[in-house]
Amino acid sequence: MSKVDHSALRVNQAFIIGLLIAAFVANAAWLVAFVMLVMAYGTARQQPGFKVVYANLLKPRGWVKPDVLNDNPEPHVFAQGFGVVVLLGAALAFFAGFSAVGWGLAWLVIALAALNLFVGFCAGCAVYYWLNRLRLPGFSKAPPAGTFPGMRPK
Amino acid sequence: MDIFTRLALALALIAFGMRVYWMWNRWQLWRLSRGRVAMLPGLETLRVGVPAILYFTTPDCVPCRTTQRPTLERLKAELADNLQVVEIDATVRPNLADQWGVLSIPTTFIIDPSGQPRRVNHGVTNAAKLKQQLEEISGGNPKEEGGSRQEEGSNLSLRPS
Repeated sequence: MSKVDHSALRVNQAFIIGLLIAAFVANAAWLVAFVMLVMAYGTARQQPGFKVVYANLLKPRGWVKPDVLNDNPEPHVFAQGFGVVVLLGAALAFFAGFSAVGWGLAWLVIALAALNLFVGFCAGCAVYYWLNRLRLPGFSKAPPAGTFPGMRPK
Repeated sequence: MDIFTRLALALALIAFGMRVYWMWNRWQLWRLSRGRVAMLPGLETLRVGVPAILYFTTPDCVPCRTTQRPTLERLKAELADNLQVVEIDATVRPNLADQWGVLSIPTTFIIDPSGQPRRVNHGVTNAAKLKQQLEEISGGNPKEEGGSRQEEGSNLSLRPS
C-alpha cells in the first residue's frame, strides 16, 4: 500500500470525459486518438495520463488541492490501460469506417470515467481486484482493508 | 449528423447520466428514511426538532480539513442552536459509513428536524448550498417530503440566532 493522490486521478478523469465529449460533438476522431495516446503514455509511466496538467498547472496554483489516500496505484494504472484498449478499439473502428461503433466505445469510456469521478467507483480497479482474487500472476494487490473492491478508500 | 444534432445527443446522454445519479441518490435517501430516528445509526445523540448535518470524514482527508470542516464550523457559528453537526470518522466507524452508503469522503447528509435524511452531498459542499438545503427541508416543501415523518412545529427559521 502506498500514497495515491486522488485529485490527480480525478483531474485525469475530468479531462478524459471533457475531451471525449468535445471529440463527439466536433466529430473529431483524431481527438479520441489523442486522448488514447495520452492515456497510453500515462499507463507506460504508471501515472495518470493528464497528470502533467494537475502537477504543473492546477496544483501549484491551488485550484485543485491534493487528496492523498492510502491506496494501491496498480489498479488505477490497470484501469487506465483498460481505457486505452477500449479507445484503441474505437480508433480502429473509426479507421475501418464504423464510426457508430467508435463513438459507442468512446461513450463507454466516458461513462466509466464519470462513474469513477462522480460516484467513486473504479470499474477497472474492480476488475483488477477480481483478477487478484483469482490469483492471476501480476495482480498481486488486494483492496485496502474495509474497502469494497473498486471503491475509493475512505 | 451535423454539429447541433451531436451536441443535442451529447447533452441528452449527459442529462440521462445526471438523472440516473439523482435517482440513485434519492434511492439511497429513501432506503435510509425507512428507519425511524432512533433506529438510524449515528443519529443517537440527535435532538429532535433541530435540523442536522451528518458529516463523514477521515483524518487523511485534506479537503475535509481545509474546506469542509471550516465551512461547517462557520455555518454552525452562524446558525447556533438552529443546527446540529454530527461528525463521524469513517476510519473509526467503517460499518456506519457503509450503512449510510458513504462512497467518498467528505459526504454530508442533511437531516430534517424529525431526524430523516433528506439530502446527500458527495464531495466538498459549500456553505451556500448547505444553507439552501437546510432552508428547503425546514420550509417543508411538500414535493420533497417523500412520506417522511414531520414533527409538529418543527419548521424553524434558519436565521442566525
